[in-house]
Amino acid sequence: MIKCPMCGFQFQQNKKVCRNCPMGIGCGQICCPNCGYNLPGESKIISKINNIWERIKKCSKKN
Amino acid sequence: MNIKENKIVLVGNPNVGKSVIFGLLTGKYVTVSNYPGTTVEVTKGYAVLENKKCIIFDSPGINSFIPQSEDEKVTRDILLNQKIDKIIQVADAKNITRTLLIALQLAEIGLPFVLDLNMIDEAREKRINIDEKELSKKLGIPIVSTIATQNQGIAELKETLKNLKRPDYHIKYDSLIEEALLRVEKFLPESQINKRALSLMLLAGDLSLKSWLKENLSQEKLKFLEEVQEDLAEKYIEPLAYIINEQRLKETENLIKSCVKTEKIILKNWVYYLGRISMDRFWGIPILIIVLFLMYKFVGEFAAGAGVNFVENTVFGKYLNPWAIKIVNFLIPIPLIKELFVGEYGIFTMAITYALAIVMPIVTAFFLFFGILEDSGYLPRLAIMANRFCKIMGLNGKAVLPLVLGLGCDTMATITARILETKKEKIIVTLLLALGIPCSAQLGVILAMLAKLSFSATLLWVGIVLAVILLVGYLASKVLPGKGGDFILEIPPLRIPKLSNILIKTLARLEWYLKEAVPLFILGTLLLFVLDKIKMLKVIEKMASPLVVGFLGLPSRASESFIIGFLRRDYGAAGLYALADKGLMNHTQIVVSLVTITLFVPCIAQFFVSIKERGLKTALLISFVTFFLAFLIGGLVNFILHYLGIIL
Ligand SMILES: Nc1nc2c(ncn2[C@@H]2O[C@H](COP(=O)(O)OP(=O)(O)OP(=O)(O)O)[C@@H](O)[C@H]2O)c(=O)[nH]1
Ligand SMILES: [Mg+2]
Repeated sequence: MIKCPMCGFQFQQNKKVCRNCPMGIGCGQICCPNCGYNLPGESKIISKINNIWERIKKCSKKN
Repeated sequence: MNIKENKIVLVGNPNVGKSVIFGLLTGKYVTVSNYPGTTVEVTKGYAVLENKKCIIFDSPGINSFIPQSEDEKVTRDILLNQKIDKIIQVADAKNITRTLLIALQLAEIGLPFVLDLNMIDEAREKRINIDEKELSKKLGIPIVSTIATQNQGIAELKETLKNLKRPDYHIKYDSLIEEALLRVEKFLPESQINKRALSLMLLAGDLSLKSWLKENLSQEKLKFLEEVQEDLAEKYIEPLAYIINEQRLKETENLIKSCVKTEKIILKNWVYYLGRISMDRFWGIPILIIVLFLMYKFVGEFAAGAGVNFVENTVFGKYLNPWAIKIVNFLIPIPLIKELFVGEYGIFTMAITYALAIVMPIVTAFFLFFGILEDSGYLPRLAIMANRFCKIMGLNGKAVLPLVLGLGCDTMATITARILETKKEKIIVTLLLALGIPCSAQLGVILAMLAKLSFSATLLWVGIVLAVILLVGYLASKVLPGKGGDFILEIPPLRIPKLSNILIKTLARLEWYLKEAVPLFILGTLLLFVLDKIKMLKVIEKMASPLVVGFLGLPSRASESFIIGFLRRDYGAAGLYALADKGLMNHTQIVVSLVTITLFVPCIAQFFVSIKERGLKTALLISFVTFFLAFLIGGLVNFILHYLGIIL
């Protein structure tokens, strides 16, 4: 769940939703369904780092 | 068909789970998502309840029965035009105020309905306890709670549908409105919507109702209704829709007081009090000024001063650029291609250097600061302050939101202008966005340049830009009187933000920014490169010279910045920054160029979105007006400063 920092509305991120937006999919922003405020989506760099971190954790658990 | 089918409509605020419940009742899948307008049309499905075939409609989410957008009109029109037997109000149990606002209006409409408090799982998590029995007794309607995503409570919902009665709950409005209601009700045609509810929609100035009334009423009666409405409207300062909404809100507050308990422990420490005074009519202003001053110090002086200096002069100037030149010299023997990469208008020496060395440190600082504002809960407070400001101009409260959002990104804000009601309002907000609201990147670069001058020069720039926005806003509000509802914001408590969160957000924003901006920076550089090679650049500079040199009093090379400014204002601003950095502009010239570039057309993406949202003709007109005003005002500033002999 994401909480909009502007209007306090809570919602879930969903990529399909952007079809209505003229900017199209893949702008990397999340749009609050209530007020239209934009917040950054998940950063690819960060999610990659997270992935690697998870893997390291798993490996260390196995050992 | 032998027996008449029951028609049931799902109604509710946007994003409350209507489509999920629709799926559970009918077994039909509808797009479930999180954007307003996912369900823009009515979806029809079938279900069997009490051994009887029912038609079920899934409708677009609404915030009020006085339609403010195409989607909302769709929902209202089903109730007006279709023969409906029952209504299920699907509600987000966490947002009880909004829920009750709709419930009260449904009660007025008078069709049998059940209130479904959906997402009760999340409400419980947030420790919101709703006394369903008490609320049900007060409103006189059945209430069930569900968790649609886990298929919980749906059986009970179906059970409740079996015997629904017409609600009998009326809000008592103030005596002026009640009087007008009595006068209007008599004249309204029969429909399945209670006349009182129809009258309220009419009094609130629901224009979309007009065409329906025209079909069902004589010319005279229609005129009479209009007169009653206008008479009533004159008695209030605020628009009627707002007054009616306020009185409904009061009613919901009373209901909430007696039926909803939220366990919240409020720490009354200094942060709490700071949060309260930051919205104060009086104290809010000095706090706003302090926030802006801190931003100026951090973004303008620290990031631009130390940050850019280090990255531009040391990292790029001493190491990266010389290396790049060496590598290119070594790898590429053809001079033309060499220049394409590392020449005067080279992709590396200009586009990448501007993007990474000038804009990036500044924008990073800006995003960091913005992240702090965001996570501390100051943003909605800022919107409230801006709202007061707009009210003074006579602008609709809703217009504030896109304008505030424009400080992040004008392109996105242009899309947000959708929430406005009339076409005129949308156009004016788009114009204001294009004209006077600098986006984050641009604001950063501008602040950075201003920080090199005096603080008085900064104030001068702020003053001029604000004056232009105020003037245009004021003129605009003369063309269209401010009406329509305020936006509903939930004001969170002020809190101290978490550093890790802010860093992650800043990184994500930076990634987005680079992806978005660098390609356009490169495109702009290519444009200059080609123009330079075919000897057009000098011609253009000469042609623009009366305007840029004569009228604005800038060096002729500033034309280049305006050319690339067409692609992105911030790139243009970076070009000016580089000029100022080389000592090619004095302080007066810097202020004039900044005023001009601030008021300049925002960026090519914003232009395309404008076309898509407002149409080609309007978009072109807006761009033209913006362009014209930018140069006009820039020139005036230049003229006045010289005339008065002010040296900055
Ligand atoms: N936690 C929780 N989430 C829910 C529940 N019901 C629905 N959701 C989620 O809420 C979001 C919105 O659901 P939708 O059914 O699209 O909402 P809607 O009311 O049809 O929205 P619009 O058509 O845009 O008005 C989805 O992400 C659902 O998964 C619930 O009971 N609990
Ligand atoms: Mg839906």
